[in-house]
Amino acid sequence: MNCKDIENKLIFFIEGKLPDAENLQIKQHLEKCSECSKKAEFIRLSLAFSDTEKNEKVNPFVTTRILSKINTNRNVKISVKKVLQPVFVAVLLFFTIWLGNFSANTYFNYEYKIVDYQDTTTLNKTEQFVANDISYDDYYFVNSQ
Amino acid sequence: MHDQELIKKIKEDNQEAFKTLIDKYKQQVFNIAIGFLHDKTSADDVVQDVFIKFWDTRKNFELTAKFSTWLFRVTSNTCINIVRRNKFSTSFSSLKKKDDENKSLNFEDTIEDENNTNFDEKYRQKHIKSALKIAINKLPKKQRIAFILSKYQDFSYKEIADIMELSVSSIESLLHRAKKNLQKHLLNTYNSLNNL
Repeated sequence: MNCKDIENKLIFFIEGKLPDAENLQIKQHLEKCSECSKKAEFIRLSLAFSDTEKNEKVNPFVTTRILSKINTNRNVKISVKKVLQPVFVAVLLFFTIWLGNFSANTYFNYEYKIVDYQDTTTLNKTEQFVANDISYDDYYFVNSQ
Repeated sequence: MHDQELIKKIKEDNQEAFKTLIDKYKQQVFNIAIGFLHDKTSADDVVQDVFIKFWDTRKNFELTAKFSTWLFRVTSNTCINIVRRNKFSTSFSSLKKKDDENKSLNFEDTIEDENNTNFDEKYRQKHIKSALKIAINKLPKKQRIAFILSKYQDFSYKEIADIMELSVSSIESLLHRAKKNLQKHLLNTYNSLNNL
């Protein structure tokens, strides 16, 4: 095996994942070749660094922090509820009043006809009689014809 | 107590059961997070976020598989998102950071002038740490997840397959490619350091 072949297998050699024969070949090569040996050492140290990280311990107060955070969140949620509830009731009340007013206007739409009794020329005889504009005799005379 | 019993109690807002669940899994979640983020404080934050996320969605939580599988999947995805978010800001701040690092190393150089080997060792450690970080972050997403779950949590192929929802043979292949890529990136760093 040349240096290139060795380089391609260094990580598996370091992890001890190679067959015995291949393992021995690489071991013998590293004893002779200082450059490959340095590279193997660099990879070994890098991988060993992950073991250092792996041994780090989680913050012992993390559980307390999480529990206090969920309780804070719950309090915030409760206070939001306290504020939003009256607002919601007010909006609902306003909407109900508006809806009642709207439906009343839509379904019971009374039209008030305003008649100007000053101008009696546009009225028929009955309306003129009601408006006291003509006498009973005139009214009777028109209707009996 | 089994996870299912704990979850049932948690759904009824039982904080004691939630505390038990956190204590059971917090270290494992932390190990995965540090594998992605390489920073203790950020990993602690991920532990908090993941468990709070679970608490917030506990009412709708349907346990179709193992709880731990779900938890580690959520942890991996949360970390991937953080790394993706940080990439943008890191690219801008990297130049400044490099400059600061050089300044601090020069400062250490002056105070430890008498002991040059100490300085060299610190310098080398720093490069090894960043070499591993860079090499892991350069891995494609699936390879990175598989490698971190294997290396930082010592999960079996079967466990990784369950978390990633892939077959065991896919995980074997992913891990093999991840290690080859990692080796390539580490050797590139080694060569570039030697060419300085």
